[in-house]
Amino acid sequence: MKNLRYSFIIAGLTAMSLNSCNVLKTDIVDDPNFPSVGSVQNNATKAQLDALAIGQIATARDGLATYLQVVGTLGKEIFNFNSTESRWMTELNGLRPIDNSAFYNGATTAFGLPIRHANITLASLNITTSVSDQQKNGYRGLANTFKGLAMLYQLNVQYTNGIRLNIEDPFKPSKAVSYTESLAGIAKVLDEGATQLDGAGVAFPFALPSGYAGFTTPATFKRFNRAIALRVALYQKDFTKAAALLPQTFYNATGDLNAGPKHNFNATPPDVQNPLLNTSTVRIVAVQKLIEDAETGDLRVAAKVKEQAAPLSYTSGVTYSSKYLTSVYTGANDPVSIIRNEELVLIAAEIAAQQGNAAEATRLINIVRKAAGLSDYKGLTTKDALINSILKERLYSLFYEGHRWIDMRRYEKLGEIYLPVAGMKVLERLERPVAEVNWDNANP
Amino acid sequence: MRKQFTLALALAMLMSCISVWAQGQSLTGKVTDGAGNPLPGVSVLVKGTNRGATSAADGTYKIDVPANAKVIFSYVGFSSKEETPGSRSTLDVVLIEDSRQLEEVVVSGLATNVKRSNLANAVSTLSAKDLTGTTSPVTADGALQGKLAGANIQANGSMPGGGFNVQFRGVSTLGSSASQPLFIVDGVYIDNGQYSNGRSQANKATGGSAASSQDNNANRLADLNPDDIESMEVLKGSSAAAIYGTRANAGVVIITTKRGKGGLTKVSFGQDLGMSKAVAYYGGADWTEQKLTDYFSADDIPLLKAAKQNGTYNDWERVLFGETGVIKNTRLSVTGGTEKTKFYVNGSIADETGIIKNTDFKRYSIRANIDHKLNNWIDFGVSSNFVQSDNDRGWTGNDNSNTNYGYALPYTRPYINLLPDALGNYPNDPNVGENLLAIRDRAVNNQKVSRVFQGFNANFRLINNEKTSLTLKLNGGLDYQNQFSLIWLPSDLQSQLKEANPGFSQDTRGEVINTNWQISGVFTKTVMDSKLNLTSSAGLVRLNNRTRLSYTRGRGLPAGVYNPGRAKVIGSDVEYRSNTDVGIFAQQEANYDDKIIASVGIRFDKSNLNGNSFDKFFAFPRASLAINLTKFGEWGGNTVSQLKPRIAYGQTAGLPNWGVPFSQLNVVGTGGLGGLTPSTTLGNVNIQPERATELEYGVDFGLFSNRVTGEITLYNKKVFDLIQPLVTAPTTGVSSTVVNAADMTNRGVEITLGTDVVKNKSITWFVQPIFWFNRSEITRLDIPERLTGGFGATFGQWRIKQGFSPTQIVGQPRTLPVTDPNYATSWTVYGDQQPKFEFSLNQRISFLKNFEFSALLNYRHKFTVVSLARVLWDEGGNTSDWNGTDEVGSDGKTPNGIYRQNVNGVDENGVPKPGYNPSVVSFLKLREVALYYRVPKSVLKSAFGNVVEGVRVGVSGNNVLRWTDYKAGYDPENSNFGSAALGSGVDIGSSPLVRRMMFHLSVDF
Repeated sequence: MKNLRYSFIIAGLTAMSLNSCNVLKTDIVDDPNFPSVGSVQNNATKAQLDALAIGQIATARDGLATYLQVVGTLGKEIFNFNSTESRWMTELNGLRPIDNSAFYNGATTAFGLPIRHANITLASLNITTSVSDQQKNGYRGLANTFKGLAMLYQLNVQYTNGIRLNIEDPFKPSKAVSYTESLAGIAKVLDEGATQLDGAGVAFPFALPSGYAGFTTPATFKRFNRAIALRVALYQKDFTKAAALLPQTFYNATGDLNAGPKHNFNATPPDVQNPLLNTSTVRIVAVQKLIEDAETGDLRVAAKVKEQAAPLSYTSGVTYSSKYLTSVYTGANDPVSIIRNEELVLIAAEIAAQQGNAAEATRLINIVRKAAGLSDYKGLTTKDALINSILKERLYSLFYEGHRWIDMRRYEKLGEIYLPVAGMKVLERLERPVAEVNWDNANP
Repeated sequence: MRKQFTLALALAMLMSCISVWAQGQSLTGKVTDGAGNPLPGVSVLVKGTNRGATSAADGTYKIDVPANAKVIFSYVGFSSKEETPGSRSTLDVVLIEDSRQLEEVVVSGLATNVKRSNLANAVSTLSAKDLTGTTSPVTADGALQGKLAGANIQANGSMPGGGFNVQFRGVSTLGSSASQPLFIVDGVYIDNGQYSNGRSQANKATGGSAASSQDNNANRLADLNPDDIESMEVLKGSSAAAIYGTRANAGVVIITTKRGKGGLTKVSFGQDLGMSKAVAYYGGADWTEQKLTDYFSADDIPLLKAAKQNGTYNDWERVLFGETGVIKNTRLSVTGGTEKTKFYVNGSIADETGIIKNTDFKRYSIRANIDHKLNNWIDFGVSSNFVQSDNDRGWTGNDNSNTNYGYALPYTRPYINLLPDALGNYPNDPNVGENLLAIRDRAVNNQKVSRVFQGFNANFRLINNEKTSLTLKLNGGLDYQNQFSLIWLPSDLQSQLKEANPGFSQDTRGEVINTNWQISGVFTKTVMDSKLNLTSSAGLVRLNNRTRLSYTRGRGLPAGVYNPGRAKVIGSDVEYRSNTDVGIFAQQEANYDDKIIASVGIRFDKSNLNGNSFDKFFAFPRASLAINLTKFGEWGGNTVSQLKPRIAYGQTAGLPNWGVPFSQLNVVGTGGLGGLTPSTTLGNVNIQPERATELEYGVDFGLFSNRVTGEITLYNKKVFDLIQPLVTAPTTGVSSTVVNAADMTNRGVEITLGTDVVKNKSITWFVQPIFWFNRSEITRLDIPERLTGGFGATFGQWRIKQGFSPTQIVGQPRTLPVTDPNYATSWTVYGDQQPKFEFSLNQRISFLKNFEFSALLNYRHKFTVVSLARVLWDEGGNTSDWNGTDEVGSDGKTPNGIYRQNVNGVDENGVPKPGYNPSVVSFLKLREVALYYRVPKSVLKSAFGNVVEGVRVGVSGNNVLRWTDYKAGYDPENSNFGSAALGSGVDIGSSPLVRRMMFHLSVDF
């Protein structure tokens, strides 16, 4: 018995002496799963900056599908026959009150991340010593270009609600400013990016994905930057500035109308597949009348929608049917254009029309019409007639690219938009997302 | 002695001294119950000392008793008895069964116990009889439903294999800490997580690769066989659970499994055989040509005509949910042992299929609990349990791809043929985009878990004499869990063929390892002429969790292949988590002659989940006092047999969830290039645990020799520093971070009464009414008010706002004019997820000697359910009353199904229409009911001789009857979002409530 007790004591003491110093100790836990934001904020390496640049390009695709489908629905250009979510058809078409906390507010909020991503890159570049000043300008120019683009998408949806221009500190964001001030703020970001691209030398320090073919150097990438700035000028109705910007873009009246930078997709993670594909639940249809109203033989129609044997019908909350299912994208890896030469040609036409150059406007309209297999424009050449004609061409040329609603809005023609179902309304903008409102209420 | 004691403590109580036994007279005898059956395991104790013995299998005992000493006989489930043997050397004792269990021993600390009649907290204890004596619940949490005052236990659905949300005394966290209580089984801290398996990605209910609460999985308490449980002690609030410190904010459930009592080896065999059926259906509206023309598609008229003519017009709801589930539970246990070694071995198979074809739950469990007395001062025990669970949980709940049949069913029309042809090919459903029968028969949602619970305990009674004892206790254990889940949507399903890469499968693996150990010392001393008993305890606790989760997901599968490794597009992810908690505790208890019982204690805890405070100790004090007024003199007589006011105070905490301190960069890719981008949520390294204080007070009473007993408790639980997402303006690219930003109170009342309405030889009728309610209020909120949970304000969301209940549900429409500056947040209040009150009525009637009837009614009064279910059914045209025109406020022409969905259930003035979702509802459920017959011994003896000791047969049921005024779905108990603290209780794509009926047979050899 005594021996037994001794053995317990010895075993116990041995166990304690081996472990006693550790018994009370707890170690800090580092995230075993992800790199940290902090790691790129302190003298980021070139590899980290490259990863942030690619991250910026990848993040530029965030919110794309929601944005295009929301904006397309608002402009009664397309409808989302979503069999598990009737709010696409009801709330966004004004049949039920708009909800400031619903999923479709992603059309505004999803563009916060690209802006923040750019801000983190810009802050990181200010303190890193891993790359040259010229290289820094390359990273900066890219960041500011995508930042400006994301801000513009936000503003398109928020319109007169305006947007926040300074969000460097997410806990002290500036208040939203007016639509005019917002546009000016976006133009400034893009201009800054352009200047930085000018000072970025002949090559970026990182490689760009294949969708950016033709835009892979600071000089050529700047043409993309200027194209976005041109859109902003158009929205500002500053046609003088627009005319000055036009030649700095990749505008080419005789070139491929599809030329322009594209988002790449791939179904293999960490990439994502094209989010605009129709699935069994998400069927994006064209508003039937728009297709029926198209001129006979318009190649753009055939390229973008497919007539169905039996009409597709929607019956959840609202009844509507359409024969035309969109067919713009068919493969999981199909790229999506960010901005195309066709838009630039039509912007050139619009500038000409606005500046009273009817001949030039007509010439440019006809370039687009010819490409669509249509005869030359034969209508009146008054400014209003030309603008209306350009708006019509934009409808078919830029179908499902997020323009119809904004185009009609900037010409104060939302009331002219055809309403396929009685009771539908065209909203002028989405409500400010509830979290935006709450934040300002709590932080006046 | 004193020196030795000091030394013993200094060396972590490893020194010992020799016990000295006072001489006395030897007393022997036999303990039996009222019917003369011997009672083994009865504790026989010389009053005021630590000297005790236990009765053997035949009920006999032997103990040395000093002259004039009193002896106390006590046994769980029986009234204890105090005897003065005087000069007698033999003393036979009869103990009377007591349904109130005042004598049972309740855990009062990490190493100490207290008798229930001396308890200063409202600790609910449920015995095996309470838990599994009536019917056979599938899971241990299901076995608690309706039986506990202060517990809101909600089934997340009706799938076999369970899934429960357990909330004690309101909500304890607003989502960033553990929402579920801590479960401890035989000293092992077990895992009760719900693990994702990718179903939400397969059906696109949630996007991305994130873990999802919408996978509708069982919480892993499902692995524990309820039949192994001897008792469950529920420490509902901080005052009772304080000694568990940092993990106890949501309460603690201490589960003790059955153990051998020694004596003759007893073999018990049990078999349940039963069936389950849907309690009620929801759809069934007829379809007519007019209906198609007016509200749907006239093009379908030929299909409708043909179906009605050919007799292929089917109510798919009855096909899908109309199956009869089969319940088969088998168990075989062997218990017994010697004076030194006792064992309990139980093997069981639970096998239950659901009301939906291809849904089932199987659990194979083998347990061995072994206790051994090494000598008169050392004993140890091990508890070993190996479990394999296999669960097919089907496809219900939210969905964005028509995959879930629970979601597709409301839209599936009766004239569409879904039945496979002679070759086994499933026709397409042209309206819904998927044939729900194809999903039912061909899709896979399976989760298999292999699990080991291994507990150990060892007690070293270093000092054990009449007035003093010192015991060193070592205990702890391991919970090892290995999971494998498979999700498969074959590539030739209608909905998959529309995908860019048809066919989806995901193989998910999980390894969860919890280890914990505790070393403690308990010192007892009796002073003041044996009137004052002092118990001091102190110790150290350390626990560790390691979780490793990984999955491989494939899209684009070859025909008939479910291995995701063969897919065209393969994605995978791995996640690691680990944490360590350390605690130190000390407690002092004092009992003055069972009159005044007081205790104070403190625990210091630290955890490396606490961000930068990973090495900081937080203190959790507690104190309690109970006074047995009836022990002061004989004033109470038999009228007031017990009157005990009590008060207790304690503090606990809730740890931040894993990952809270981290600000992450996500890996993204485009065009074959990899990149990094910040997460939209920011970490917070300065996070602190959520802390709670609770003051609980009440009175326990017994009247007419405890024929009527009662327990009335009031509590005020305050939770501080609740971790809240600081929801930032999302256009900043940061959607939220977490901060300690809110306080909340939970106040409530719990009343449990017990009455032996009739108690005589032929009939005993025990009635136990239980009543409780809880009111929560957010008392501080340093972040903007916010909505959380649900599917947007259109359907109702949980609002976090100072001065309001965190479980309040609000939504559209806004109540202020658009021009008002507060318009944006002027939500309409729908109600509260917590009921106004809950009431249960538990009854047990024994009659004709061998019959026992028991029933448990559970009523929940006025709580709010967020339902999207009816919206789906109305949109689909299938709600049972769709064709009617009698909805309140309707014009008498518009079908109800159209009227209700039109303009979102809001009238022209923006006021919600009558019957609009979400609903304020109540329900009454006959949770459990049973009738048993015990075959008389004389019959057994004549039939089987001495081979069969006992035979019991019976019938029982779960949810046999239900009444509810809930009209917006199958059943108000439902959760699409699992067991979240806030945001569970959303009804969408659900399946009917299930009624289970069983036949039971148990035979003891």
